[in-house]
Amino acid sequence: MTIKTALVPLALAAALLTAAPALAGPTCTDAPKDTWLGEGAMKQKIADMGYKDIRVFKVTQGNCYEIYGFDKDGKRAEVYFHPVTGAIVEAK
Amino acid sequence: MRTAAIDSAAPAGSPAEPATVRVWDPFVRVFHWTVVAGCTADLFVLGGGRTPHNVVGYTVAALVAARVVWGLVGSRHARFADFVPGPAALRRYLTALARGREPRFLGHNPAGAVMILALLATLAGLGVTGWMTTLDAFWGAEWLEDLHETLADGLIALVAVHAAAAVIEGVRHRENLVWAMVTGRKRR
Repeated sequence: MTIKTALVPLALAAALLTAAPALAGPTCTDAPKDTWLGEGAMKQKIADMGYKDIRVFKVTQGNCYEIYGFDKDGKRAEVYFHPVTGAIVEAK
Repeated sequence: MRTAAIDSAAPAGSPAEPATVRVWDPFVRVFHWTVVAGCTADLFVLGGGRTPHNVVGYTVAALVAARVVWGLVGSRHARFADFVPGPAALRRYLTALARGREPRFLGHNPAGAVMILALLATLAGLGVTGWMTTLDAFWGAEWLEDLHETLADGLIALVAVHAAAAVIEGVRHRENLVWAMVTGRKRR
């Protein structure tokens, strides 16, 4: 081993730390915002589906509505909704 | 093998002295490489929030807890009392290091000791924040996920410095410190 070997972990770490964080979550739509359900309507739909105790409600980078809350059985739910139709795109 | 060769070459009558001594006991070595494997898996392979990631994370956290206990009751160079320096000893070492005249330590050097404490604390923080994300009370708490990820980034940075320092110190003192953590043995 030489001193140059010491550069390997440093370069590796720099690369890992500057790499863009993986974008989590699905992409829902390219439809313009004026075709989207309003937040109020979306929240009402979500409540009608039985979700409750919504902790987070937001628009994702993939143009979905996303919530963190609990389903009707009280289990934790992270759910993505299509912002135009209001349908569930992904639930976990 | 080398040890045996040197022993057999020793003049008759002289005490047979092995060229290397055991520094890192088996627990320390297994701990070190299991934590390396576990962190690599959780950082780069197993997605967060899923069972395998959590199982590996808790395993690492349990190992860290065991390492802290071992730091109190373990073998000589595993003990915190053997390697954690006071501020004065650390300052002395860093001053010598800056002048390129740092002494060699059989166990951890004072700067390495600080690194170990930082690594253990970061791993403990990762374990605690990771566990907290599984609680309903913190469901959806993005600050907590952010904190967990910041700690993970901090771990990568610390590990990079730790590994680079091991290589540099190894070169400066003409020994392979990475391999020593595998065999447990170092030159006297």
